[in-house]
Amino acid sequence: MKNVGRTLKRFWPLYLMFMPGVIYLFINCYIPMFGIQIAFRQYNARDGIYGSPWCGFKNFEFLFRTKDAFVMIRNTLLYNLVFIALGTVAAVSVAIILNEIRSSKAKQIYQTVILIPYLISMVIVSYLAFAFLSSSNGYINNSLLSAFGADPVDWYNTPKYWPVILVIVNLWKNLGYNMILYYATICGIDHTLYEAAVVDGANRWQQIRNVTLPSLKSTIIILTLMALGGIFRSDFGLFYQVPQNSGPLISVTQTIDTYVYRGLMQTNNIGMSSAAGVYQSVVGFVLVVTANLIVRKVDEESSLF
Amino acid sequence: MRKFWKKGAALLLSGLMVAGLAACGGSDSGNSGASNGSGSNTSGESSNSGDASGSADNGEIVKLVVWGVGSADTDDCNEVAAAISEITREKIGVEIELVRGQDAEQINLALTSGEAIDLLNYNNVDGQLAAIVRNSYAAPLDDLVEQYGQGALGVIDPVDLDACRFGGVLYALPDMKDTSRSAGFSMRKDIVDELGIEVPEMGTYDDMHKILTQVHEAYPDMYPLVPTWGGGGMQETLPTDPLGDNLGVLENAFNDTTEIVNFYATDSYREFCEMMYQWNQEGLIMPDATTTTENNLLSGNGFAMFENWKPGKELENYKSNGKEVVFMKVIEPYKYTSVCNGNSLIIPYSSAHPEKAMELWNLMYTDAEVSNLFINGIEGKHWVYTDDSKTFITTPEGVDANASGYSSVDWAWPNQQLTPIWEGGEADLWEQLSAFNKSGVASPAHGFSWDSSPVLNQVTACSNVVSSYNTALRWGALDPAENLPKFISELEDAGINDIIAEKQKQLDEFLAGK
Repeated sequence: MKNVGRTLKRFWPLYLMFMPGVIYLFINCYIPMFGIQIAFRQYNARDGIYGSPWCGFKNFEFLFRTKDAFVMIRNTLLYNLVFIALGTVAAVSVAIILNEIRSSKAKQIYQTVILIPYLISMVIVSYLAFAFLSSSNGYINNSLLSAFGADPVDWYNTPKYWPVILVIVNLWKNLGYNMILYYATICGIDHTLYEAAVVDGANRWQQIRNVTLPSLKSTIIILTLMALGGIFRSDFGLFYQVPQNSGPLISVTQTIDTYVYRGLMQTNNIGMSSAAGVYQSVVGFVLVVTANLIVRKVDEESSLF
Repeated sequence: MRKFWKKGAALLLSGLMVAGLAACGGSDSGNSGASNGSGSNTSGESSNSGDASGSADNGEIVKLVVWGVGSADTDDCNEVAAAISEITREKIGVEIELVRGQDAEQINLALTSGEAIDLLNYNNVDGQLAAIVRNSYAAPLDDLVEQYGQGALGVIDPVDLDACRFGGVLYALPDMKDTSRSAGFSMRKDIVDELGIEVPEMGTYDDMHKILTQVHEAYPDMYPLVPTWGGGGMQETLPTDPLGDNLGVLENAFNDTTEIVNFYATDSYREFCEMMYQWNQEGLIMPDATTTTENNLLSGNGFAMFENWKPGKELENYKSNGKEVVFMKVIEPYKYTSVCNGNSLIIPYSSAHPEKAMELWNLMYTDAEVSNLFINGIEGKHWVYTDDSKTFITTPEGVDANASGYSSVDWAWPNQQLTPIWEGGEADLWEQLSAFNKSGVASPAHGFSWDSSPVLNQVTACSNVVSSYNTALRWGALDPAENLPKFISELEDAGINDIIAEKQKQLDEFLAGK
């Protein structure tokens, strides 16, 4: 007890800084958790949450019923894996390149330009994409392909292009944010390390490989672990708005979130939507814990907990 | 020290992010729960305060909250509500609070959280009355209407009233709008006149093909056929009874068979898709038909669209597109359940004064002044008579027709037939509308509403399959020869036959009890 008191006394500014986050989390994340029970009830508004009858796992059935279940789980997982892998590589590379730029003005400009897409709403992004891909007025069909004499492509009815399009859009949109996290870490690397490396005769590339990247390791691991926790979730805007909800593309754009949305728009069934949310959360939780276990086995310093 | 802070900040950041992750985890399932709690609080408060202010007056006047559709400014709504309250305070001891323009999410949230609403228009809610009833949001009306709604029963066609029953229980009253439907093509009058095209009143798809081809040749840059609304919107021009959700339908509502079939496996659906595919190949359909998010395409580069017809529809199209139109119908008027109950009010289960709400509802059917205030707003501010004969009304001078602050959505209120007619319409519009409604052939399943809860999983799965194929096939963007068989087999995998069997069972029971 005495120890706790002493720690509090010593680190009180840190705890004070911590409080708003804790309060936010408690109100927004822990209090609502009592709603999880809706997933196991046959909810109706008149009887309220406590009055509705229990129905076991019946609400979860629709998630596994058809071969859609396979398609949507495959899409969600694969897209997220690609997003995580490519996103990390791109963000780290851009952060390192940015760090190499000498002029601080140029640095700021690049940083802002790369961050802007992150701040744009997905709905607007979907219209930007439409401006490129529309078959009648789109930039690609009317300016690029016709300039090379190629036939116009009916983008919104041709599924095979969409895995690439979605990856590009996602990368373009989210690069800036991840890049800033890595860039902040790079800025924090002790300069004496680089000086020592220069004294040892390391060129720029060797400095990056032997100083920058190892210093980034724990940030990379933490961010990847976090991303793994969200691997069963998808950016609804990216998979629903950007393809303009086009039917023929569903085989490559269907994720758990869009399936739930499409299926439940008609029935307004709160129990089933809650079930989908609980399912995603549980899988995400299990994944984070497992991945962390593995990380701890390999390198205890880097693990989250 | 610097290092200490840096490490501390990194820890804090990572801690917050992990927690943020957990936050996402909880929020989906949690939202509804949290809003439920807070919602019931506010409802308690507001009904209390309503009572308090009422009793301060004379102990009898209650305040009713009415949610209608269509856009309107809050100030204008308050003004209209005050004008209505003047009348209703005298007649039924009620004051009104009027809210308009709430979207589906806001309505759902209000209903799940038990907000105190006394009359609510469910038009925006997906799945409409069926979804409302299934989630038990609506109060049963049989006793209320018997006691307080005789005036409404006096004007409502009993055939239409049956469409608002679920399992024999009444949950809504039909509006005095079009309760039959006829459908065909709406096309631009200026182009038709210019090319000297003869448009028959009733026609066939072949006639339409000829017209579209002619327009395409004369105006190669024009889109001959465009969606009715964004995202491949199309009014149905096949004579089916969708039986609620199009999963299991009566293929032809005009004949007596009550055998439910898979709509997407019928010949009429296949032939329609083949025709549209051919039209698309011939360049008669707007290339982005399934993905465009624009509405009112006739106002731009479009020539024709699939559209429902009722008396006065030409004027409605003119109002939204700014172009005069002519109609060619391809099906005669007919009626099925969701034409009648596709728009109406309910008394939500959370209403504290269902009896008073019913009295007000009754007044909306019988009192011309009340009905007109709800529909058109205030004379002099939102509308004026065109002349002293007081037959037609128009927007007051200096007021933008599309931004008067209180939009007139006449079909969305209980009784439009009590209100004056907007300029441009015909003086006997309401007689025409009644005649049109009477002329509609009732589907053998008219009045039947099915309960999908025994096969909810199949319905969810099938809805997903339909959204993958239907719009693209209907607009001829996919080759039916290749994709229709895939569509049908996926529907069968998703359990369409279970749905049809269940629906058939319920329909047979309904018909036996009729």
